[in-house]
Amino acid sequence: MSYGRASSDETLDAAVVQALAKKMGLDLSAEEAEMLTALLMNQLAAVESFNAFDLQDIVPAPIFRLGRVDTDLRGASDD
Amino acid sequence: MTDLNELSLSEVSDLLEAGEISSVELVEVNLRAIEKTEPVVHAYASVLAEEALEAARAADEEIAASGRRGPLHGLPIGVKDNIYTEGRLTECGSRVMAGFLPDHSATCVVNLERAGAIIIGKTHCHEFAYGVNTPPSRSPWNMDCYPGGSSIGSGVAVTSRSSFGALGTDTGGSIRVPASINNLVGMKASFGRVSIYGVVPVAWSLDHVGPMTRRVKDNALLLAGMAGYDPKDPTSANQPVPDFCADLEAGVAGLRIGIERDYFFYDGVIDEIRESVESVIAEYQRLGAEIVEISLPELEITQDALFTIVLCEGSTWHRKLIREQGDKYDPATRAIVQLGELLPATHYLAAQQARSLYRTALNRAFREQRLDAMLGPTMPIPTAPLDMLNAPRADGYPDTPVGSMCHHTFNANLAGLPALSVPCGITSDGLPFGFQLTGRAFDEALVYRIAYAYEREHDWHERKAEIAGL
Repeated sequence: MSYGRASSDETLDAAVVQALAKKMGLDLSAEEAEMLTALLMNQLAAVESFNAFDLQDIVPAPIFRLGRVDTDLRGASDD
Repeated sequence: MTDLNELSLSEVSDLLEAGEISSVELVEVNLRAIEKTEPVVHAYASVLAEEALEAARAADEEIAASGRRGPLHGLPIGVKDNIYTEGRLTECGSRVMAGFLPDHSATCVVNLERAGAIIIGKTHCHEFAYGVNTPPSRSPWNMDCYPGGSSIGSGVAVTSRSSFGALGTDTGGSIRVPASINNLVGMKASFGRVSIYGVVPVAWSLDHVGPMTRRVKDNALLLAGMAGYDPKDPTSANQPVPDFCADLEAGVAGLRIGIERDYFFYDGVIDEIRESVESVIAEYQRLGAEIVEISLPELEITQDALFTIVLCEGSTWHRKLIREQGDKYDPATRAIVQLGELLPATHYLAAQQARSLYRTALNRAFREQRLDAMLGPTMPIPTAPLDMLNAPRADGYPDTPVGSMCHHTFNANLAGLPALSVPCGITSDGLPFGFQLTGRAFDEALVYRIAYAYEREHDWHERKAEIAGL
């Protein structure tokens, strides 16, 4: 499955991604870092599609629910 | 004599009820089918032959002494290998979980075994149900094409007639996609309808367990056996489980079915599927349903929102495992798990905002248009050759086959609404496909009723693929 979308010509230095991952405890080979960098660039572009809508005052769904005593999640029945 | 494997789950249940067959016979015919088809289709990760036969003998004794517990008593089924089964291998398609024997069963399995169902085997899945590696299962509809995933083995087992029904899991379409590809009925019920306790998570806020069967009634019976409130699962809904078959034959006269054409009939839908699903819509109109054109531009953000949520929630679950046993992951799965860790929290929350926006818009459409269901193709394409999944689509549409396959399924996971794939055609290349009904929260019974009204007018569900070389 191809996660994310290919929409960006910008690049990120794979060495930076490799270093960041190492800081987080993930050891990547140079080859893995190259692949992950490409995936990351694509996936970071995913939020661009959200800009077509105004999300400013929308409370994210799970956060809204985690604060409830009743954690019964009901899909679209409660908007 | 009728080949029992050719009968549906509800038909063999009726024969068991009438005392015309035994549970042992059913398990034996499934085991013979497994022996015959497995060398070619590889649906099962493990087969529980002795244990299933023992359970069948016990079921027959109990039925003789005190009758059946219900319609599932004595029936063998398959269970996807990411669902815990106490004392039985649960390897989740991964070397990370090789040899794992859970000390408890998932609640859905507990419920089904309590209803008398017998687990005949665990079915293959993509590694941790991510859908990025390639399990060995192949569909008899076309051995060179993708059989669907991540409930790949469940789809192949049921369509190969080596199981009367099987459980799948669905985070973005993993029940409905293999159901469509394998000419089956597949249900992702309302979020919280079936407990996900004991199911290896992909993404906690999107995961569902559900049934894959040959017919609508089979599916309704299996769902009833699995469903119910579970205090062990914080996402479980405390909702009564109705008889999903009670109104199955009530028809669709007067019901309102919404069609969102911009998204579900976009240019990426191939002509054969478009025309067939248009004829499904015409059929519902003929049967007395009212077709309502709706507009939901928010659908356009559902793919990006779901991917982002899956990556972030999934990678959180894998944080420890990926560090301790990262070398055991398939490289494609490992990359996806690592990717999720590198996404900013703001992107995860923005995706959840987008999800809220979509849910609100969908709920408004259902309410204001007084919809009973929404209908469209389950997939825009039937499937694709395994070696072309990530290549540009052969028909020139600017997407990959794998990118297109879940275009129509993600939105129901984000909304938490029930969504059912129903067989409705076979392409000129011999590849099946289905249409998808999305219903109101916790109204699976109505979704089944609408689906059954179509199924009883057609014989798509009877079509069967011959397995080459057998």
